[in-house]
Amino acid sequence: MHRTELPSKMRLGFIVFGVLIVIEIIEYVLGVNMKGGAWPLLAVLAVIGAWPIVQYFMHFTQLWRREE
Amino acid sequence: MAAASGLKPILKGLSFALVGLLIGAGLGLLFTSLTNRPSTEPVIVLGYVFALLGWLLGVGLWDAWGREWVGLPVQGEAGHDWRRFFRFTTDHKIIGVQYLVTFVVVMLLAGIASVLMRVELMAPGKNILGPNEFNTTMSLHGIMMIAVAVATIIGGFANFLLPLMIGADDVAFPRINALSYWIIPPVAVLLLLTPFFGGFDSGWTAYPPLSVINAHGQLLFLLAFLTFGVSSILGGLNFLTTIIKLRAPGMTWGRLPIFVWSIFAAALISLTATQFVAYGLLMIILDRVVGMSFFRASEGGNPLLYEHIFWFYSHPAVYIMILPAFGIALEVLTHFSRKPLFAYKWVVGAFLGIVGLSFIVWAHHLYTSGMPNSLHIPFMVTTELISIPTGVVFLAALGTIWMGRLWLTTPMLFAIAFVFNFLIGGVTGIFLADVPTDIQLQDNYFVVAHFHYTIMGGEIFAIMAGLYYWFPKVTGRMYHEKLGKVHFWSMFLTYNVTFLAMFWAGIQGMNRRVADYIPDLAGINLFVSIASFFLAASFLILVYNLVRSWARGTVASASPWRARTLEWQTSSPPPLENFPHPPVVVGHPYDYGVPGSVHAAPAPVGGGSEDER
Amino acid sequence: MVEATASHPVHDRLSINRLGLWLFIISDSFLFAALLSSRFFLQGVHRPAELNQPLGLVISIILVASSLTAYRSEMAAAHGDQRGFRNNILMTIGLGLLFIIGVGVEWREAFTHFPPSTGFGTIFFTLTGVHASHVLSGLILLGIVLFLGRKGRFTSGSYWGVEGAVKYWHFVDVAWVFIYPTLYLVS
Repeated sequence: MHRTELPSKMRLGFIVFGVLIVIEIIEYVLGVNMKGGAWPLLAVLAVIGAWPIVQYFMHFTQLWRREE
Repeated sequence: MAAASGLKPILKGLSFALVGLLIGAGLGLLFTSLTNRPSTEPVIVLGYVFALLGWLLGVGLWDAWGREWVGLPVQGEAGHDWRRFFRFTTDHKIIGVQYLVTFVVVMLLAGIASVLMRVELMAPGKNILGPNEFNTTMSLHGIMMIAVAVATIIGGFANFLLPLMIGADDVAFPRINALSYWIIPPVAVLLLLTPFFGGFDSGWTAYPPLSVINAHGQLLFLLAFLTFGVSSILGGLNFLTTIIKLRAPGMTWGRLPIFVWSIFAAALISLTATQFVAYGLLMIILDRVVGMSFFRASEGGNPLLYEHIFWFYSHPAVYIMILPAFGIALEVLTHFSRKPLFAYKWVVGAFLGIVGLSFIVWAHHLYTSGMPNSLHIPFMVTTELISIPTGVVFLAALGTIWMGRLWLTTPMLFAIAFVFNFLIGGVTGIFLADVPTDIQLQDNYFVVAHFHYTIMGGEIFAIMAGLYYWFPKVTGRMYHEKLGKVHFWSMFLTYNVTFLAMFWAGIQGMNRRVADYIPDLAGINLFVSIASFFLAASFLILVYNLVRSWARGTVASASPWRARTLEWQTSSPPPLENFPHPPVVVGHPYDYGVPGSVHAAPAPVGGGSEDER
Repeated sequence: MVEATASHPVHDRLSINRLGLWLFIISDSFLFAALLSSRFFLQGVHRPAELNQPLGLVISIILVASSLTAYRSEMAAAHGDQRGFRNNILMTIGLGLLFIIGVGVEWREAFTHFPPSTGFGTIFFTLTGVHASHVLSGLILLGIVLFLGRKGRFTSGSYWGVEGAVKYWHFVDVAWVFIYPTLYLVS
């Protein structure tokens, strides 16, 4: 890894964070306003929210991909 | 004084445990003084948790591991005499022996419990045990044998042999391995203490609401089982990582010995499903200790939740027990038939198929519990589907023996008996998988006989095969062949007489988990009891043979069976680093009789193995 | 590599550790799966009106923010930026503590409206309690990493301790991503 990559990595962190915040707020609005029947949407949103954490923060693919 | 210095880690662990017990009990009293709940159970829970931590830190976790986390150098220990077996060592071979000896002893203790039960059941009415003592004895027999069935092969045989079979020098996480063993003694202590805390009459399944309301002994059982689950999860994690990452050069997935594959499959289950039983036990503990309402119907609780959660682990758990037994049996059958393992790839597929199916059959334990009737048929279908991969394994065993040049040593006899017994266990399972027959047969001795045919006739016979087969590798000495055969025939015959009769008793209406029965059943129960005493006596031959041979049996060569898998390609017992020259695998392990076939060759001296990676 | 006479050479250690941690995470997620399924089994999608939904959103955002700082600290450690690594770990610990305080406030309210002995209280306290115990253990791990980091134990080439603790912390966050809607939002 090179030092020059650091700023772009940090930027990626902020992008993931932003996406997660947006998802949580959408979930909140759905949960507060929809009376019943929201759970399938919420389940889908939870999966969509978990994926970037697993992919970009936890580097799941490192398991089988050799890093440079 | 030598004994005292050898037991120093254990004494240190015990004293730390005592300190932990006092701290935890004090905290428990402090917390309960703030509320108006009774304080006994919180004191037991917190006292135990801190005592467990103290024990682990004292016995070696701190010296071998904890120091590293606060920036100090770790302190290791070496040793070649008997003391190393009483230490927090990271050598997988020593841990394997620790597991094996511990669980053979637990098996004998649980066997004594079963003899007590059979004495009580010799005649109707009260003989030696009252109803509560009987059920506590029955529950202790159950949970101890479950522990034996889960841990003897994975903890004992796999620890000792799996790294050898894949050509590694140890498991992936040696310290976690040591931890998963040293967490076991507290489990045994808790279980043996239960009779002094009112016992527990819930059986090893501990269904609520009974397990929520009965004596404190139940809480000890719950904590013990939970701790054992932690050990099981850590073991599964360790073996999966070891198999995936530490195979010798050339040891491809298609060349793994079948025993390694069976451990891989069982470890997948123990890694994942065990969390469910941990949660099930946690729910009972929370209901008991802090007054939650998981199982109190007046607050919306539902005992069926426990049965679902519990069997989501405990049905797959029978495959944690039986898959490695398949592995041992196939291993032994192949080597002593002097033929390649029949349908190797199909067997591997069958193992993985069993793992997959094992997660979707749990509710067949709930046919008569009041779950929705609509679930009966789906779970009946999935349960019966399991007989397909199991049948594949069975046919592979027969295909391997077929036209082989059988070498009928003691382990081979046990492996063949495994096939015979497991057939009976499997066929009787179909009656219990079918809803209409199960509704008639549930909760009686037909069920008892069925699962003893799979787990005792199956797995314990496979453990016996493994004990004799690998005895020379583990101890460096040969067992007494003639005594081994006497043990086999006495155990095989008395076992079948005992448990075949139980099918009959069950069909006649003999209920399980009761100390008494109607006089009509006196004859069959007396018959079963007497047969079971002979069965119990046959284990004395085993113990005598093992102890005598370990002390002064004839010295074994590196490969007394001339078997080809890697564990036989190093000395008996193997040196600390397992292979003086790391092996390179070049062929299939079971190509007996195939011209020019080689399984493994030692690497060229000088570390050339690195090029093979 | 003459010294690699052992069956597994030294350079495999990192990938072994990673696999082990992932297997632990997979195992632990079965525990959370059991927790979530018991919520639906016992309570369906019932949610008491007294539940403090805005507070739930606030603590969720705090936890996600702590994941961001944890990520930043790992990246900094990977690139040899010792100060960035330590500062971000410190921020992660601070946000984690804030999350715990938020759960504490929530528990105070919950005790009056739906105590642990009630149906929903049983589920609520168990789910948040098991999760909070994961947060606490994660905080302890991060504290150890911070302590060792101050002693200069991690370099850009060797920082498994940081990576492991941070991965575990992210996992605790992922678990909350599922627990939060299950407790606070479904109805």
